[in-house]
Amino acid sequence: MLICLNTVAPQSADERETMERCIARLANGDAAAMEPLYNIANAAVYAFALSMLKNRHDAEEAAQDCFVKAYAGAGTYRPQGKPMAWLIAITRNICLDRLRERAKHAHAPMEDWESYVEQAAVSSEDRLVLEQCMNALDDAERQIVVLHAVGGMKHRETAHLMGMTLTAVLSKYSRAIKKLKANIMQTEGI
Amino acid sequence: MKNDKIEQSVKRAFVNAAPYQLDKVTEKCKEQKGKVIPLENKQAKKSINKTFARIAAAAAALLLMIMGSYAYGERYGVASTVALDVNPSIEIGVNKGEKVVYVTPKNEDGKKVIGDMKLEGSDIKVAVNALIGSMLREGYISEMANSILISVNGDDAEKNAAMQSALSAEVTDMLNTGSFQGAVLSQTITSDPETKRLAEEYGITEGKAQLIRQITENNAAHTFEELAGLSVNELNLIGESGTKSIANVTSAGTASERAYIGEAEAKRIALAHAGVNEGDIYDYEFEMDYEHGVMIYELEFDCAGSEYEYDINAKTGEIIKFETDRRGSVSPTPAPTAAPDAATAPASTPTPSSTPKPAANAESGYIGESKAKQIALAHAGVSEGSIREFECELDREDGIMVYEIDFECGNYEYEYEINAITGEIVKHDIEEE
Repeated sequence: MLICLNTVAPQSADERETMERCIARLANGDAAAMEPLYNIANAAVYAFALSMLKNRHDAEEAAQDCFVKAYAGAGTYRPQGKPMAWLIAITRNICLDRLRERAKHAHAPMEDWESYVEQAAVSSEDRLVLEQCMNALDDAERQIVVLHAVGGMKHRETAHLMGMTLTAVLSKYSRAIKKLKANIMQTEGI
Repeated sequence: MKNDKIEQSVKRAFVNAAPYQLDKVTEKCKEQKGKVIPLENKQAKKSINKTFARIAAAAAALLLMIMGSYAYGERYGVASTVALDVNPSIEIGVNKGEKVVYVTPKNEDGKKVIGDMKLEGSDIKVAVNALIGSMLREGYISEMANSILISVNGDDAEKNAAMQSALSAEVTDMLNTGSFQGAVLSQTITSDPETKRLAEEYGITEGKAQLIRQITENNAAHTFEELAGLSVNELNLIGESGTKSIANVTSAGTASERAYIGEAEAKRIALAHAGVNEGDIYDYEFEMDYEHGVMIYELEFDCAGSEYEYDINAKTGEIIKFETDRRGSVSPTPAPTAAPDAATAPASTPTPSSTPKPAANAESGYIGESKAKQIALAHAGVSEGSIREFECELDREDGIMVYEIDFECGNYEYEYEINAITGEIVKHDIEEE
């Protein structure tokens, strides 16, 4: 059980370096650097936005806005080997703004993540996993799992980002993985 | 199904579900670029503004004739405001000729700095000089806290930028001729209702409010409320230490750390507590921050497959918080860039001989993690070899420092809080999984 805390390899050093080079190029006005940056980070940014907003349309917009803000603010990025954490922090701020707006206007949109099934690339197995992530986990658990499994972030980077202790993150991560494992095995009849 | 398979499934599902929207992103980036107002538009805007200004000036002249000079009081003719923040906060209204129209303290310290000086009518540079001189005399700026924030607010962006630069140079020169080097932060600010509201609510200048808002935007762990009471030197230290620079703030000089123990000492304390050698650690990170109501050093490092995190009181050197995770994967020669791959490690408990043991900290008087663990295991009546998912955290609970210990054994989850000084079990809980 101990090994469950770090079984997905964190983001590779090569990927981090590529992302940092792209951000530096964006800061110099080289818009072509957006494509490689987007290709590496899109899934993590989108997954994190979805895990916070629980609405496909909002998550799509938040993910787009994240890259637009990263383009505008590339000059403020200090290369310290944490480009994914930087993008996720931008995404988190965008999502928090949206959640505040929702609260202000009291019109929370439907949680419509189910519409993924329309996408050809999403297999029935993917759908099952998405369902469990979105329904069985609480917000913090889902975000922590997504940041580590999809974003390749270290637990302590997640702790910083979410203003939680490392122990709390580790404990929630461990609990979340246990839940997913039990639910998926049950659904699959294993 | 193994845990790593679960994680891989999660990754695959989200990767497949994420829509590819690069075209839309590129389009929005272009649109954003297009939003930058070209120079000719600015000039056109200016000429419109000038027209309005002429009308307004004529109306004002008429009003002046009617009401006499009385009605204009001290705010008449203010073209821009200059705010000085150290801990004293002072706002200065300046007219188009850069002469001081009014000087207003924004807090008690500001009142003390202004004293009975009459600065109205003097050149802004002279007034700033006099106020900085007073701050030095009163001890608000010293080698222990050397940072000052200058914020310029007004309608004319070019003029604001010029004034910001001139005042920043003036103050830098003034502070650097003494026995220490000053750290001058300067910015032009744009009026924003939210910043204004926060400034009024917390009794600070809009400039300081804008600086704090930027720090909280860079680091979601901070709130405006907790930072509002800090001095500019403390804010500067937090800003300098963050991974992101504070946008739109020009910085000259380095914030003083003379009031604190320094990174080297903080590192020595953490390594001694963890019982590890400096040569064995990797992925070391260091940051100054404000947490638990005090300035702290945050140190993080990995050693032999475990992550360590320390919060150390930057003034006293006290360990406020200590966390580590014991994954049981021991890497004798850890690669500096690759994170330990626990997946390949045997699913067993950490081997006591090869896992670094935090030693009792003689300086803090804490019993140490090993002793706390021993107490918890003895109370639970389980052996070290039979437990899983051991976690230990040093934290403050109800005013006392405790080791929070969690582990699993058989089908049970155990939780303990152990007084870090006396070793007394403060709380314990056992739950069936």
